[in-house]
Amino acid sequence: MQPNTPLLPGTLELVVLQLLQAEPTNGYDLSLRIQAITKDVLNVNAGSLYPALYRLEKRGLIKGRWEETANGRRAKSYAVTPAGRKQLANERESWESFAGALRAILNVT
Amino acid sequence: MRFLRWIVSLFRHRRVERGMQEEMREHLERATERMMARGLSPDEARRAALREFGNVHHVQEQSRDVRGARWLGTLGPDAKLALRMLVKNPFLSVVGGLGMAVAICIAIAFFTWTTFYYSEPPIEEGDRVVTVEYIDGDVSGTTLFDYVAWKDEVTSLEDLSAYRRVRAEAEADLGGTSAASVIEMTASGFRLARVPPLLGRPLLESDELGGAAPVAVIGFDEWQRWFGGDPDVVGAEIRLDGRAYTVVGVMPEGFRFPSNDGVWTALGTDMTVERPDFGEQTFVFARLAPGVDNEGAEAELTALSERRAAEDTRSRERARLVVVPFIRHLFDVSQYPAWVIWLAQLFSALILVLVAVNVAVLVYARTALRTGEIVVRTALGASRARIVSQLFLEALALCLAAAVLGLAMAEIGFHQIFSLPELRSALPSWLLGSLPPTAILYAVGLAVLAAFVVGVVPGLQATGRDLQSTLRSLGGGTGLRLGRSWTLLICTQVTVAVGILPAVVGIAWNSFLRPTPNFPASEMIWFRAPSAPTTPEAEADFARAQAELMRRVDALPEVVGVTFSSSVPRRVANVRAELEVTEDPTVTAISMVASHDVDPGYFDLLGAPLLAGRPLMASDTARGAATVVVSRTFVDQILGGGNALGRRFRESANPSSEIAPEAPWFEIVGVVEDLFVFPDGGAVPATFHAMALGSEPVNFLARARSSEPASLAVPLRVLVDEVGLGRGLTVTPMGEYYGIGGSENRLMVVIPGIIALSVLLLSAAGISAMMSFAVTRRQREIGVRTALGATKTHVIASVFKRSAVALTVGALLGATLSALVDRASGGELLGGQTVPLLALVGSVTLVTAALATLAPARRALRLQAMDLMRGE
Repeated sequence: MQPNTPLLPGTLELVVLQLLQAEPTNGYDLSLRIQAITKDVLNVNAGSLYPALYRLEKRGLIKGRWEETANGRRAKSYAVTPAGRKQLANERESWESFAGALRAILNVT
Repeated sequence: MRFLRWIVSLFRHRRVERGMQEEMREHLERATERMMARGLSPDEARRAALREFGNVHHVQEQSRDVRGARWLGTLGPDAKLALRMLVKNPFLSVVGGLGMAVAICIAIAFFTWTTFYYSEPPIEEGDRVVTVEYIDGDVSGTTLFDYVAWKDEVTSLEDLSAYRRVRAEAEADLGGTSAASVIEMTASGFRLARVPPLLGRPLLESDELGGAAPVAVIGFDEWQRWFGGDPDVVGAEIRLDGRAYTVVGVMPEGFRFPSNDGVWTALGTDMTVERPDFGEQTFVFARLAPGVDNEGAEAELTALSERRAAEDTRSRERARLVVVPFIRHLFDVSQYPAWVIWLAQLFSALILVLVAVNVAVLVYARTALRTGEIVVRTALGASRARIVSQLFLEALALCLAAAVLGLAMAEIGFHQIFSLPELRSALPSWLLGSLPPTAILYAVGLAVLAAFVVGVVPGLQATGRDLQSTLRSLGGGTGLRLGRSWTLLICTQVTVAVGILPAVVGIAWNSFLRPTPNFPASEMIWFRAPSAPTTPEAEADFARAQAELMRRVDALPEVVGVTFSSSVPRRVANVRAELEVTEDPTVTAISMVASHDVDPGYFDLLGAPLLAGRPLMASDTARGAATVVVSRTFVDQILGGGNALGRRFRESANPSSEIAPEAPWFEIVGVVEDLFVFPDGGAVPATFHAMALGSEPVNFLARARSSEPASLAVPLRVLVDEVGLGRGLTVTPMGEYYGIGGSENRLMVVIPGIIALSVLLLSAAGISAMMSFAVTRRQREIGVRTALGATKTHVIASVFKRSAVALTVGALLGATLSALVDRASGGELLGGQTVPLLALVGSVTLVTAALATLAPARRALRLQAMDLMRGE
């Protein structure tokens, strides 16, 4: 996959929920983690990331809390709520089912 | 729940906004540090971080969109801009705001009235308390006779009660003398209220019996005022009109029921002298029995009344008996169905819409001048909704200011009306005080509705055209056009203005020009016996008692004299008179006159000078005597002057009936001065027939030696009681009766005056806006035509032709509408002054229109072709 590939529509929330469930963090570190984990293939810019975070927060799937970081600065850290975990499980299931179906099609020779 | 979250979000908005900005700043700072760590200079690192982040402002806007808080972010600046626009356009703000304030005030008045109309007494099961009334009949209302007839038989009503209101001079042990409003009520009234007294006991049935000792229950305020809150007040004595009453109870604070009176005495119910067609009006009220509704109670009482009518020939002819919610007996509109009330309510709100449409014309004209601003904002990315919402907010600021002013006007108006002494004590306590809180909500609702008409409609019109055509037309002044619909609106508005104004001016004028007494009314009072005879024996006693009363009143040292008549001196015609034209007996002339039956000593006491012939004498009171005295205006207006003595005429029984063929002819034996005169010197023709004091209850007129005739109230009540004519005499000072210097008169002039002024102001504003519009739209054409040598008259005519046609058509339609409504009202609406009033209103409207066109016309004539070219 080429660097800076755009995300498939509707997958950003799945990515955010999954990463935040693994470890609660702030918006900046989250964007770096996406880049690091996907080896720069997925690059989510701030214009998409922050609205997605606020949308999830408004729906009650994640919850933000202001915390002091290691270097003494204030940052808003997000964590997944129980409702978010349930939502993530549902979305993962449908994504895996979709991915499995797609893989099956692509394996047809 | 969602609404609650929305409200909370309004308050949290500022904190959330700060948090979002801090979060993004932190993001940028860390990104900058990361870039610097890669060896970039601080400036380069900052730029690179910004590149990576994207447009910060745009991201923030998107984030606000997600939260649904974008409009909140713009609310503050938009509101500030709206207020600035209000100040920047003082003409629009003052004229539009004032007009809408008056309209909102009228709407609030209707709303409050409706709220009162549907209000319930603040007692247990107040919604089941009803009043019983006769309506539509010759004599409406109920008397004690009805209460006595129903109380033991009715089963659909519980605690059937009755009350009458009395004005009395009260004298307490410690409190001195003061006027008190007393209510005579049956003991059942307290049972119905279900409020126990604070001290002592309420009234009991035994208090209502003839031989019972007079007792009174007093209110909390009276207890404090008269007895300083003495806990041993029970057993103390108060004097009402000189008669001693023992205080048996004190009611708790705030208890005022069924009216706003603070002293309750027992209403005697064992009287036998009452008859159904006469007697003080006595209100009958009760609580519906469980499981019974108004119709059920109505059916039972109607059946009872019909049975009584079959047994008792003296029962009066009554059309219909109704059982309605308690409050209705004060409004006298129980016969109107609910839809009439709501229609009136809707109509009052429509007045505001009409005014708002006017203001919308003004706003539209101003919006036209802001086309440039709108186009630039659209080009910069502002959506149509964003611009329209800004215009709506501007209109809302104006409308809310108008609503505040309208509420203040309504509050002051209600305060003025409720401070009228008669209303203050007659209305139930729960209606008095300030406007109901719902009126504020209603006013805000009306302001939003008006803002929609004033802001959104012109806003949608102004932004509806496509950007390119608007841009193209920018050089020519305005891209907006004054379409047919706006011309139609102006035409309608002038029609309504000319249609309404004559009636409004007529009401104010008629109140202002009411005839005033030509006799010393401020020194006189009138009163009549509180009860009447029902049997032949009682009639003889009653006649003797009336004669005795007259003798005793005449002997009072404070009294100059006393006389009587069948009615108080009349200011308006009440019968038709048919005059015999002596030259040709087959020709008769019919006129309306004010007819009186009077004591022969009537003119002496009133000080009305005899102008010709002789006064009425005792011999004229004999049965079959056909002599009459007439007023000066009768001679001047009906006889055409000359010698009236010996001429003959006859009268009808009432204004609507024809003169019966067997009606007797009366011969004029004397002429007296008019009793009332209009400010212009005119008067209503009057006739006076002699009457003797007998068994018919009459109106007594007493003249006091002082200019405070009200001070006669106490001695008169004592005398009336002593001669056996009953208790609870109502004494009315004649100055008060004729409204001399009364605040009602002032209100009847001031209120229509304000309405007329605001209608005129708005019309002027609307016309001025339309003319300005016409000039702005065609300024290039005007400039070119002037440069080519067109005369000023031609320029003005060409620009204003369409508007002038709209104005003329509107004025003609309005005048026709007004004349038609006046004719439908039988000429009462304009008080017979149709032509002068229409001429007055027509000329005032035309002058206003001319003044309104002055400024735009001068602007049109000043336009120079060169200036316009330079502008392009």
